[in-house]
Amino acid sequence: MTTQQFELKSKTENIMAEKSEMFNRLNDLKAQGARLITITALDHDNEIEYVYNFSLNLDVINFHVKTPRKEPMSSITSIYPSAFIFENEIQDLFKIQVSGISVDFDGKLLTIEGAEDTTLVKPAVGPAPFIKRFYGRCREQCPGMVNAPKYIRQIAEGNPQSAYSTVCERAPLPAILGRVCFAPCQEGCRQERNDEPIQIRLLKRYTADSMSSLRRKVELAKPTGKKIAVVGGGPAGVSCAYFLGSLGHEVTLFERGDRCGGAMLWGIPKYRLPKDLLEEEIQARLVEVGVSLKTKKEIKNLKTLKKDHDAIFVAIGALDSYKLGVDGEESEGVMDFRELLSQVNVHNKTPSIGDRVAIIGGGNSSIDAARVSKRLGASKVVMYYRRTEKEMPASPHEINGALQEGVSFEYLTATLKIEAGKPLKLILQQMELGAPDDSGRRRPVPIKGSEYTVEVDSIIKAIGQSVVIPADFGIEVNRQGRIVINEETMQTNLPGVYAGGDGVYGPSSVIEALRDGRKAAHNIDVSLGGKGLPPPDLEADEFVGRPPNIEEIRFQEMVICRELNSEERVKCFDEVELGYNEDEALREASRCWKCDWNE
Amino acid sequence: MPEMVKEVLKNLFSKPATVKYPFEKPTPVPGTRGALTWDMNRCDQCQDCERICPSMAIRVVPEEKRVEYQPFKCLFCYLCIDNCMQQAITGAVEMRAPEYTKKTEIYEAQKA
Amino acid sequence: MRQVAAGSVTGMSDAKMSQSKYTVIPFGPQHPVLPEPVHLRFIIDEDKIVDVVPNLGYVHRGIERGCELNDYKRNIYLCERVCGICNYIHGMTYSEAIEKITDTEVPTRAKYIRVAWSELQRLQSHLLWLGLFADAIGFESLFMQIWRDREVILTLNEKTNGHRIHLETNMIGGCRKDIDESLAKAYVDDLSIVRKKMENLRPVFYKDSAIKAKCEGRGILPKSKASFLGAVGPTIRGSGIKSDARMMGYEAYGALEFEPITHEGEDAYSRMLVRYDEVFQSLDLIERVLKEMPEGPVLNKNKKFPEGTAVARTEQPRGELFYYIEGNGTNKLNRCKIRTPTAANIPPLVSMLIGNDVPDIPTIIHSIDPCISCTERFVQVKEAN
Repeated sequence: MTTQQFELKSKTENIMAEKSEMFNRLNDLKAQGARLITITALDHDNEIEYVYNFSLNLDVINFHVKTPRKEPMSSITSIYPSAFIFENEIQDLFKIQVSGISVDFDGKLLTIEGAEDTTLVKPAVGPAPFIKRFYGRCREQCPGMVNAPKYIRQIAEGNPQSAYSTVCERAPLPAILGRVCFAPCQEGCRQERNDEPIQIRLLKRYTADSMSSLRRKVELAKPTGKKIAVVGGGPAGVSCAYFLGSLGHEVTLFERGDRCGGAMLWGIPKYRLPKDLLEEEIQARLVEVGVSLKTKKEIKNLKTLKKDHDAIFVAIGALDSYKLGVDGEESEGVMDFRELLSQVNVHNKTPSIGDRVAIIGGGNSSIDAARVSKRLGASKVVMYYRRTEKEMPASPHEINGALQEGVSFEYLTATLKIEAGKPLKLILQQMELGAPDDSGRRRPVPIKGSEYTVEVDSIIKAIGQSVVIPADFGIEVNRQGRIVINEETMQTNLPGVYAGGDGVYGPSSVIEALRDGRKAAHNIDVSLGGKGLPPPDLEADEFVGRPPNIEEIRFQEMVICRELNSEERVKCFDEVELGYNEDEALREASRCWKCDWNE
Repeated sequence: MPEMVKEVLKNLFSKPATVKYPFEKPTPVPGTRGALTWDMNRCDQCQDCERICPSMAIRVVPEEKRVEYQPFKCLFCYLCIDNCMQQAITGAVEMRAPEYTKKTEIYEAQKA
Repeated sequence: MRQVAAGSVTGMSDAKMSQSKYTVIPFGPQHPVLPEPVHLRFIIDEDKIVDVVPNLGYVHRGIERGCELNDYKRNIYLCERVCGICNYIHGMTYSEAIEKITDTEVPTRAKYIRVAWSELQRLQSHLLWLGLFADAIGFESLFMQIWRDREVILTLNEKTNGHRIHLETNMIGGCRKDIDESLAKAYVDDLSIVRKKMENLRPVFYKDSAIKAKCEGRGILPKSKASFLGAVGPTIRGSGIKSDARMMGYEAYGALEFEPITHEGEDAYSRMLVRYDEVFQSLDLIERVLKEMPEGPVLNKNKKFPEGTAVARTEQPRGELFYYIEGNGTNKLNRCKIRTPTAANIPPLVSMLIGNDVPDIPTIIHSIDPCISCTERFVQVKEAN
């Protein structure tokens, strides 16, 4: 049984001919014994293309003749009398003239006698079928609308380098996001119901890990000659600088410290995000588009900047912390979490915090402080939170990691007073959930007479960051101290000055800052006369197909990422998650249900 | 035609080939494609069935977690069942009974 | 007495038509002896037919326009509903055309299974026609017997995919279902019953004098004119010309070598014998396919949207089916043109009828096996007054 036996013995041949030689060719065909199959016409507005299909022995011959619409076409019924049915039909469907048909119904073929209009020549009416392509729920949940289905597909096809570029189109720091993002996409994944969402964050990390060098070749637009200043080297600033540079502008990035990174640098511990990787990726982005970086330069006044540059983007972040508001807050041994984390993450010091540590707060930064304390040698680390576990803003992944490392949690506990001394005395009070407040959540109310004291060596405050803007900037701020902007254009009250990131929205996440940077870059480019950046794409002619047998991808198990052993990892600051290797990434990416299918 | 005469005589003495519906029901062959029902506990309103249905008999309203199904437009081709990732649609072996009016069946998820 | 338009088939002028010795009788669309709603106007001269004006369009449904609105995957189900009897072959031809445009390779096992199901449809269609022909002649008991034996095939369809008539197992790039061991055994067992029963009827068709008297010599289609008029299917094979689209070797027909069946009679009787013999050829083909099928997958989905033009031809029970599809790179088609065999058989029908007697009209119309629901997606040939 050879494949030759399954080949079609008939060939199809397309012949284009002029109208003048048509009858000669058709007579030739008739002499060879060809049989007429049918006649079709294609409407090209000004001209009509007639297609005559013949069958000669076993082959099909398609004969194409083009005529302008006004000229009538001669009928071939003199050669093939059975063509009268097809020619009458074409005459009526396309409203053209074919002259000399042997049985001519004069254009009244498809019209019922006495009726004005039939359904034959009108376009079919009724509800149009629902043919629409969706973004995919993972993509809709992402603040930056990163094209998650597309890069998962590219990984499954074995092309992680192009997946890296796909992420950089909307969020230019994939290696960092793959380690620290809180991943709302995973909560939107449809497989979350079975507790097995696609590990989109780890796949993003894999695209970065698979690149031999994070620096790529990026096509830049033509230089525009406009100069733009970006104040602040955090994620919002880096993103804005990258997109503006790729659009052809001359960008200068001013950073107060000696390294870029912002909250990613001091806030996220080394066991989640290695600092040299952070530096490598930010440098790669800035060098790819030619941004000039000026470190150790703090901008105090915007007026001089405005003189030299055409637009400014302010992304200075949230530089202050909230106070507890209790007595004894300034005692020795009571640290703000920023201090502790900066010392450990940025300056690589190991401050001594003693053996017993209390952490007040419930967000991701408090958990970071707790796990760092464990690594600095504290044996008893307790976190005190005012509400219950359900309302804790920290991500479950982090809480799990902390529990594995031996951190304990105390809920519904509020701080009353701190007494100085060695050891410090922390006076706490139990709370219970009372009546709901305006937002509907139940407020914690103190239980009378339930105060108790705990003796600790250090107390770390981690209840949140606040925004402080230098008064000389001249920017309008709101009641909480955050910059006021127009949400659509990202512009502040000063003309030509834009803002985004933590400084506007308060402490948020890396992906939200990246989104702000991109949005501001688009608006700045448009205001300077450019075209801006493209919106999230959803092409109708991109073909995305599902596998033939859906059972293969329906309920497959999640690939669990390998981690360092929980006893060993508290002794050092090595990266805890080990990421995916090639085989694991391929398996996990093939599990995707392709919610943006288009076939 | 002696064979035909033999056949006619055989038919005279065997039981009729007609099934007297509705007094006798025909035995369904396993694998018959019959009526559809949705299980709203499993449905997550992804609209895959709506996009794939050849006769546009399904309409999904994701905001209100509702599925509207018109059984009189349905072809019972079972493409929706084959493509539902959460396996929320089941097909029975019996066909639907005839009715007097065309209606739409509405399935709603319970509001938690 | 009605005026007939100048455009009549034989070209007779208006003046000649209006002479009082001609009568016009309308035949159809509803008539007790017709299997399909075809409307013909006969101009007769004392029991002899002088001219015929066909008037189709009674069951037009707008399928070709519907194909342009839907996306190309739903169109399989729309095209399957062009005809009820030969539905599988319509879907298969459409899939073949799309596979040619998108360069999809169909697995070998799927090609064999498609042949098996096409032959099953052909079997069922020929049995249906033989019964109706017997009924048109007046042989009621033969009609009932053949239709009772056809029920076996409809139950086989139900076992395959759950519905009796519409097999709905077409997908672009292969088949939706596979034939496993128990189903293949059911095919072989049940079809042997059909073979035995049809073998018993051989003397009826070949030797019965009543049937011969009714259809021998009626509806002559001479061999020299048949191909020129555009006849297809058993209509042309009854005139001695070997013309069968299965000779092209589409699907797995290339590996199963066989010869199309012809008879030399050129009349309605030989067309009936062609169809009767094709029943046995189909039974043989199905058995051979079930034995020779290789193992493997049955579906290989297409990987891009249709763009360009393609042509697909297959052999329906009634003749050669032709699909012409044009795509534009998105998921909607520009044009889907269907030309069914009955549309091509209408001009030979008209030439066959002229010169015959009025009582032979049902026999001759039946002998081309009209399937008017296939023909009338858009054609409406109507006289203008």
